[in-house]
Amino acid sequence: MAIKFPKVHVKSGEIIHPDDLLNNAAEFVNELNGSIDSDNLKGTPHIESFSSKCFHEVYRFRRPDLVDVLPLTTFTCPSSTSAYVKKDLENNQLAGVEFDSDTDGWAIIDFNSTFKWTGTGITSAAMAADLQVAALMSETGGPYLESGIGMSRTNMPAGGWMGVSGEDTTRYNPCQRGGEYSSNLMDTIGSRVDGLSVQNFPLGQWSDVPVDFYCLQFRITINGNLVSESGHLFNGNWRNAIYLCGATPVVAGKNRIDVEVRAFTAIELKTSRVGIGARDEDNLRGKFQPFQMVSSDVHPSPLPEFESRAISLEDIGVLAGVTFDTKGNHDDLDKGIKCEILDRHLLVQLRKR
Amino acid sequence: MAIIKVPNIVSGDTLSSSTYNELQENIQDLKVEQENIAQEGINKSKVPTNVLLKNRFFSPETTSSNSITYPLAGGEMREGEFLFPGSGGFASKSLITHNTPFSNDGSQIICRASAEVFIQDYGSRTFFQGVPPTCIVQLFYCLEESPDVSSDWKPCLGTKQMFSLAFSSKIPSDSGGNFHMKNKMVDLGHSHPVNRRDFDDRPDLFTYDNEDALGNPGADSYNVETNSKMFFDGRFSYTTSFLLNYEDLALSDFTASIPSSGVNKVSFCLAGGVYLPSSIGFPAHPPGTATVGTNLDNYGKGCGQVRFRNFELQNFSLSTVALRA
Repeated sequence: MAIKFPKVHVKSGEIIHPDDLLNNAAEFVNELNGSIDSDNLKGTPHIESFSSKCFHEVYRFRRPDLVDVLPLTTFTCPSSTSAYVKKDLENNQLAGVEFDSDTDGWAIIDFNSTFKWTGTGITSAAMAADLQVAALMSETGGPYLESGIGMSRTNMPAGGWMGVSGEDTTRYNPCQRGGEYSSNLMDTIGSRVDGLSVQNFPLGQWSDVPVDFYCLQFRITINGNLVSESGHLFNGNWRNAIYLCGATPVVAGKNRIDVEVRAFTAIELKTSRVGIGARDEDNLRGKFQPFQMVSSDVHPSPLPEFESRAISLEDIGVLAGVTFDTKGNHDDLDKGIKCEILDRHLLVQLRKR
Repeated sequence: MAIIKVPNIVSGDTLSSSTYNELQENIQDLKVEQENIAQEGINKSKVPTNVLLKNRFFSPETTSSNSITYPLAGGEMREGEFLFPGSGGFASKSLITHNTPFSNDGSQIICRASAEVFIQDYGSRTFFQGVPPTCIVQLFYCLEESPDVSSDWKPCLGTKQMFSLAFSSKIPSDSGGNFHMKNKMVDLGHSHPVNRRDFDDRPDLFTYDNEDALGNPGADSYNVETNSKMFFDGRFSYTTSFLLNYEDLALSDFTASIPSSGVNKVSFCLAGGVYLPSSIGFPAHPPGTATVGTNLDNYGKGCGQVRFRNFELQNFSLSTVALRA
């Protein structure tokens, strides 16, 4: 504000010159006609003086939504790529908003979602045979390891302690890896209590090769540029959730904020398989000393596609040297693994400059 | 636009009263509008405090640690079924009330909530169906003056999160080298007690404590009751932010009608549930008291006592803020 009104003082009896009149008027008219600023305003305006959305706008994306036709739109992470995607193969969107901003500003972004894994992560009969589940597959039906009642699901990844019991003495623990631990219980007079009998279960199998190397990674982008990114979320957490947040500058005009995800197999590249991972002439592992070189920390490759009961027990049995019940009263193994993202909520607060 | 038009007054002309009055009237009739103010002409000194963030509430107000135990009692809970404040004794801890009117003036409420989820390992993959328990946590809200377990709670859509581990350690049993079966075998009809497993024969039983220096037999190093050495405890993070628009209330199918003038307050809380497959014997053998592990008439004979575990929400924090329209 730089008003000097009146610019011209008229003395008594003096003829008023039109220019003086106009100059005096212009001194404040110019200010009033679009140049009023903070200096012209006394104190603090009332809160309601500011129009709606003058400071901010809020956008959200959520699933499920009250207006959804379907109660929930599940996002299935594609197994065809290890790259970030914002839509799945069914064209379901993970989360995203688009808005027109009339000013520059910045966006405060919150995102959370939950996801679940399904599948064994086993990619082949050979891989299944390599895990101890091969010799312990249920012959009595159901997706369980051998047991009188069904234990330790075989439609989940092997790893850690897994329940097992059986009735004959041919089942080894674990499946011949590092030796045969098939010693029976003995009673106090030295008589053998047969193997894994139903009377002394639940028995455990320790899986030393856990299938826990599949993972998710989330990120938030604005117009394709990274705002924030999560770490690797592995399938060892069978059900889990993610929360990502970030703040980013926003320029006036059309802006798009998306959440993207990638699912991949996070295995380390090895330059050699002649070390501890190699098999000896007896098809056993562990004989050789480690001689592996890690050439990269993580080599992302797509998830193995999930297929229900796609690995036959007969094929596994041949590779594992185990004869399964030929009557077929057991389940074949699921192949691969998939990850589905369920509930999700994206909140974007646009703060205007 | 409120523009003041200055009459064209030319030197030498007669300044009529009407011309002079036109200028006066234009000034007199001026109503200052947005167009009268320069672009970006109002700086932060003229923006009242809290003009954007109207009201903020935090819970808990102190930084002391807190936790809620979600019991499994009350029947099997499946996905979608939850406990509510009151039934688990956590109303005073997880409840936050946005204690200002919420009306249809375009304002919005944002609630943020976080908690640590703790699930004890009780060897779930080594008995029964081998399914690790899944716990579910979600944010809820209600509009009642004094919310409790029976209040009309509505889920905050998009904030449900599930947690479980793929793996577990094992229930103490003979396969872990446990001496538990010694006399149980006699009970089952075997002619003599059974010796413990020989650690030399079963080097894979690394959870087995070998005999001590006095020759006392070792025992399974796991302890279901105290949860010691069971190393697959699950610790997860629940964090969410949720936007509540006033229009959501009309779509949320509340039992009571919502006054046209709005509601006095909005309360939020965290609630949880646990999914356990019915085939594991629950709720016939509720947590802590189950004897299925030692009851010879049950599937779990031969192992330590199965003890289902509650899950806990720990160190939770909730906050709400209202954004002006």
